[in-house]
Amino acid sequence: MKKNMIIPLFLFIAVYILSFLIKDTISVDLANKNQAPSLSHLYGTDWLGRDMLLRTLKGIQLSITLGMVTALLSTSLGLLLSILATVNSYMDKMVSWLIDLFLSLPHLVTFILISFVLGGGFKGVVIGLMLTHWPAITRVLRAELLQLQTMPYVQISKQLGKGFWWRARYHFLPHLFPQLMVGFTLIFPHAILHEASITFLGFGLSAEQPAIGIILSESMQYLSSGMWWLAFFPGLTLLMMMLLFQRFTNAFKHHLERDRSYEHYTNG
Amino acid sequence: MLEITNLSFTLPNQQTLFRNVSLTLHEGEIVGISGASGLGKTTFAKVVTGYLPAESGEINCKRLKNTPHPIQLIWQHPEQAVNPKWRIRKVLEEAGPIDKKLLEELQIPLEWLQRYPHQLSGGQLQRICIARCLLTNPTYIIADEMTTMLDPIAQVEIWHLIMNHIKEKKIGLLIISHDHLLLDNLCENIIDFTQYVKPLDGNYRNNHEGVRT
Repeated sequence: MKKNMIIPLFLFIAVYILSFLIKDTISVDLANKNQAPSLSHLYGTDWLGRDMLLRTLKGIQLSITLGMVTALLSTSLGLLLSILATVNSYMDKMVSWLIDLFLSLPHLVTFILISFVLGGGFKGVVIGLMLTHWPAITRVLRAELLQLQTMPYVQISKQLGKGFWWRARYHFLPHLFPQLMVGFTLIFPHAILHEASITFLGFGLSAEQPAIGIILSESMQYLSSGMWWLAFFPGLTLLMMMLLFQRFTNAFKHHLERDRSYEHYTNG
Repeated sequence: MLEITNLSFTLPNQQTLFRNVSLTLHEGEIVGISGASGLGKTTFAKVVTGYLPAESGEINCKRLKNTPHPIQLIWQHPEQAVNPKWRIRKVLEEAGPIDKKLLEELQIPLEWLQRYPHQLSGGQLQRICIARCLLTNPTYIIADEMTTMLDPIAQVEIWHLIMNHIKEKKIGLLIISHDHLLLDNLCENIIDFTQYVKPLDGNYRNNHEGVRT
């Protein structure tokens, strides 16, 4: 059980930290350009002779940071809005209206618009992703809260003199946590994918930033000339990282929801 | 003294459930309410204890903000009345600091406090709910079919425990039950709830059990 959780997390963090050790400038070596994968260049080299392994690791670092920040921000936004929706029926209408508004617009179009208005770059992409990825999780959380509010023990809590925020903290949050975890895990890869696609279209990160999306969109021009490794290995690495992360969150969720009935109880 | 005057309640579908219920409950007095299923006894209890807003009428007992309601309701199903993700200690602490003497009176061993609700039986859990209710130091208690789901022996046990405490603390108790024997034994006077309900006008008003007399 513990092993399931620690190993993926350890690998995930190891790759992430490894990427910090790489120099920011990856040397151009035109003598060795367009090399297929070999022992000296495991992922091959690109059209400027840069080592693809180093570029990929550097790109993974930026993409993961972006995915993490976005997933965290949009789940927090979703949680906040869904709890606000339970305050009274007026707030509920407001939040439902906002959800409807954002779901009625195509994801990518809103995202491009927001990112473009904010001038692109890391900040623009993160804010754009945050503002487009919250409705799905908010809807799930709101439904869960609607059901929870009719439970006798929540109503009793009110009559025992507990305020709204107390109930939100102690009654609602523990029940919402599994949903939050699932939402977070789903948004994380989604955000990276959307970052890649918007960068590919030219509205996202600027071309000198080594994100996975940029590497993939650049490699498109070279794919037809048979340089498959430019897209294959970076894509595969991204996939592996996603799977590692998913493994970890799954194990973590099971760990949190384990049967604690016979565990030693400590006060607090 | 708890005074309820002309209390009425109308369902969202414009059907009046009960009308002009008036009732007085002195501190330390025990009153019973009987009546067939689906008449609105539980709804009445919920209106009095503040779970539902009354349509009209007055209750001379108001709660202050962020303090426990002075009239506490004990629900019929204890399993629904406690958060399944909390240990019993937390369930009790929600009402106030745990009073070891009270737990002793209700025969709740301290060992239960570290269990989860699903690790206690229905009768044990009902005693936890009663303890939680008493920890708020209520002036009045409404017991809504509190022991219906228990066997006769467990019923007697629970009523014995609660009666001692109520007499000592001079708490007004309103018992809602179908069980006439129980009401006859415990209550000083019994109110038939049927008198407050408008006779049927062609429409059947059923509760989830579909029983109506």
